[in-house]
Amino acid sequence: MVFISHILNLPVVDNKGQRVGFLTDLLIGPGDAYPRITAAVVTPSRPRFGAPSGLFYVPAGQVATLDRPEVRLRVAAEDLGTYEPKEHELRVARDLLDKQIVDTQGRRIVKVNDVKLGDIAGEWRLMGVDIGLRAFLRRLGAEQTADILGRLLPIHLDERLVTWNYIEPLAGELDNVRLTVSHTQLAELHPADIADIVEQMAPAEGTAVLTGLDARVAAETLAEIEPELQARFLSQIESDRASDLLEMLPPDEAADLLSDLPEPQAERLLSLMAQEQAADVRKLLTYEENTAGGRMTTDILVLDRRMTVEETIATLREAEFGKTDIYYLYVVDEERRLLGVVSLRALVTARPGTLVGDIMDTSVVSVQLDTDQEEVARVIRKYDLLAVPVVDIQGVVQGVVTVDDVLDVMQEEAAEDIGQLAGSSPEGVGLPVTPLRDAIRRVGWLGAALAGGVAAGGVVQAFAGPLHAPMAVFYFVPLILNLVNALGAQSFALAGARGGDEVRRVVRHEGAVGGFLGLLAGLVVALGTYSWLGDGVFAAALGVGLGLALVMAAVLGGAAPVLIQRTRLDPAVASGPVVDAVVSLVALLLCFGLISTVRVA
Amino acid sequence: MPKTNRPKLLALLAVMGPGLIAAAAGNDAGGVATYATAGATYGYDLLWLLLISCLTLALVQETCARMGATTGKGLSDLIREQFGVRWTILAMCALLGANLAVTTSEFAGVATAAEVFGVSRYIAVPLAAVFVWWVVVRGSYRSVEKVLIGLALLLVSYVIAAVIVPQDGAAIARGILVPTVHAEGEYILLAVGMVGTTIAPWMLFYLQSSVVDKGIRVSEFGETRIDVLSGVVVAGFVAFCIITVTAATLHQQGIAVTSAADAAQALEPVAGAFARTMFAAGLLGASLLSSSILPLATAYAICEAFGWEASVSHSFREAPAFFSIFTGVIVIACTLVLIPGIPLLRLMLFGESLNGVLLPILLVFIFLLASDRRLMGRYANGRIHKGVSWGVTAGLAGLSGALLVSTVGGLFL
Repeated sequence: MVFISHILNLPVVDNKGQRVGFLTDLLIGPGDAYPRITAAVVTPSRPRFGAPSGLFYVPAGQVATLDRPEVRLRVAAEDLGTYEPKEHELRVARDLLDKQIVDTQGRRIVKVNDVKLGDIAGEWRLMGVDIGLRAFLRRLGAEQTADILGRLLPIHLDERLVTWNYIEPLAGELDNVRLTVSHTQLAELHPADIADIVEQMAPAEGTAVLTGLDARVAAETLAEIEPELQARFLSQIESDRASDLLEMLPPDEAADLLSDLPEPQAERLLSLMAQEQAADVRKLLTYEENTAGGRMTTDILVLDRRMTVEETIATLREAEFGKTDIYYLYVVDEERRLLGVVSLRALVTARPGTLVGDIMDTSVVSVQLDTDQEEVARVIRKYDLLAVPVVDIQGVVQGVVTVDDVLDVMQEEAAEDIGQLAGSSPEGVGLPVTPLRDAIRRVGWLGAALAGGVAAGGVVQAFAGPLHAPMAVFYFVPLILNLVNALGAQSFALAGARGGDEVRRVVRHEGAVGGFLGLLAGLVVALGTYSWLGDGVFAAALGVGLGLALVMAAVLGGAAPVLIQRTRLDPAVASGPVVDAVVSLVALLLCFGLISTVRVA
Repeated sequence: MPKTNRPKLLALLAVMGPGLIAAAAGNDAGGVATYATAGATYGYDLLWLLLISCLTLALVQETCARMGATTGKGLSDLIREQFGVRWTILAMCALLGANLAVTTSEFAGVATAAEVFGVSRYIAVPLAAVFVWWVVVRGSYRSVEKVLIGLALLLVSYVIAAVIVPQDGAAIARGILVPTVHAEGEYILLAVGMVGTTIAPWMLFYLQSSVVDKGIRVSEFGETRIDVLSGVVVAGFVAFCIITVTAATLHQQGIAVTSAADAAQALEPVAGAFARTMFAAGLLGASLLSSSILPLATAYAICEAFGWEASVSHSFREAPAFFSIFTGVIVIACTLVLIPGIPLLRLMLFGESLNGVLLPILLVFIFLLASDRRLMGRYANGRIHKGVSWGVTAGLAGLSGALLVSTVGGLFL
């Protein structure tokens, strides 16, 4: 799987690694469910603003890889084949990317933000178009930002793929991309797919679609819609229709939907539902949303232990299926207290006259009504179950939580855990970055160090009067030391994490970083000092001295790991004393040396 | 207005096409401030630039209308489809910046007019902001349009003022035909502001969208061309009136304009109390008209570029981005005007100058699109058309460059 935004403008190299050009576009032959890529459109010169020139076509068969960091060909540059684009063929970037998707009535829906390609049995094919915000950020090269945003905010940043079978590019070259599924054809799709499309529509249109669908399909579609959007659609549908849809759903899903609505509205819908179903839903609504009670469905089948296998199978045949799948059959006593579980397999293989009480497995795992959903998920995962029964304090079976009820809980938990990990880990350490970016990344920490320095300076200043010493010396000592030590430590840590770098490269990189930061800090401190003391010469000398000291600190700090490695000392232990001592000494000498020089002069 | 006149008036308004509306709304508070300052400071010396600006406006408006009719798509749509996400963001930032600046100058216009009438800006501006927001969001679109057009008619008061004040015909002709350039920062600022207010970026987006919305075909483009040209003539004439009025009065008497209220009050000895009230009323009407259209046009253009839901008939939840942009533009503009002690006239002038500085960026996009044969077919710009377009863009970019140099230079000298 690769996105067109990832590969456009990548260099194209032949089988010997020699560059033949840059990827400008891909040709597809429409018609298939997943159109095949027939050729790569390549321009010999680096693409710039405006239309690329000298385009040539490389047949798809000669393209070996189609992913970052470069597009590789199977053949040498001399052996490149030619490809004559056919009349009906489309160019992915030119004809699809950024185009408007309209529905069959010509209404605007969304923009094509990206195009997804997949390698199917050795052939590259177009999988669909991505219409989500995430794809938009990806186009800007900010997909990592999207990941971070997605973890921090309740914004939906997944891929939003519309598969190719649902779309058709309109005849004219400049026209929009049309959704081929009309509202009536929508019904033939899987409810999950309809939900994906409906989510993209304005509520009024989406509601119209939901109203037009068969009630059962509409109900299932509603259940598949993103939880945040469900209530919005449900509240737009006419009450009578809405209550019908709710009746179609398993009670737990109906309860989930209603719990997101304002109470008066939920109450009105409940009053319109059939009494029996409404009672089930009402009961579920009383349980906390994040507990087994809130997640379970009450629409289950339980077996009396005195039933025979034959009777059980007959009951199963007659029972109305479809609301929930049957994973396990739970066996209860006269008071509906949970006794054991019978698998369908055990039931089918047992002799017809056997009592279910005799073939049941009594080591059944259950959870309480108020068990936290995370715990339920943990139980299901631990015992490898498809469903777990929920019992009240008396052990009476109240319902079942199935694995799909808690699947999203498991995912939420996992995402949380990953988020925490990422938050605490040093993000991006060791990545090759430009000095400017590196400087920007580290400037915040230095700011904190500067603040610490200013505070420490204040403490020293308090002693300046009683000691009758030149105030400046006392004030600026901790400020200078804090700044240079902080930068030295940063450079040390980052260079150490990168590892294996040559001294010369490290020195050049850190020199540049130190240059940026030194210039910045020197300016800030010089301006601050000038506005405070009004002594321009002193401020300038201090600023220059501090700037130079910071360059020195970055270079020394960066080179230290390699140098220390060469001396066979333990870098973790040696770093602090050695680097700090050297950096501090040189920095103070630089700053005060400069100041006293200009003072004397 | 008397009730019996209404049907006739409405019939007249129905004939007004998007070109006329866009151009009329272009003569807004910032425009009044810029033209009045130009007339008061340099007399007839900037009239030649007004002529060039109007010709350029005609050129660009015609191009946009033609693009709308040929492709059936708005300008944002085309920029997004032809240049991709990154360039679209640049174009939209330029548009947002320019529109924010102009909206700010509209609210500054409201504040100025209110202060002429003796109402504090801290009351008038928030009221105007709420009014504009409410009219657009809560009113139906039809009635919104009627409100806007009704307000636009207040512009006529400028023309009346021009008729009352005696003019020197020969000096006017010289001003139009002989370019007189003063190598001063103020002159460059006014020149860029004048270009920026005559050819406001938002007008281009608005016009093209209107042409698309009305479903005008390129085959019936003749009428639209007339509509566009008459819009330019009307806008140019109103601007001409403002400049000549202030040139004949304030410039003659050597009165420097330090606020738009000065300009209004300075008209009093010449044209009596009537001129002062007209000036303020016209300013208020123009400001309210443009401050209703501008945030709306901004929101439409940006949402169109990014494929977001956009319509005044939707609720906030249905089109969050649309309403956020619309409301945000109003709130930011309104807040800027309420900063204590901010000089309103300069604020309006700077707003229009920023418009002028950002204009060349958008012109590059527009002319690249209009020259694209694949996009425009036989309606693409020809060689001469292209040459003129690029010449104009280069000239405007040069003017903006001169302003930047003189501003930056002014900071250090």
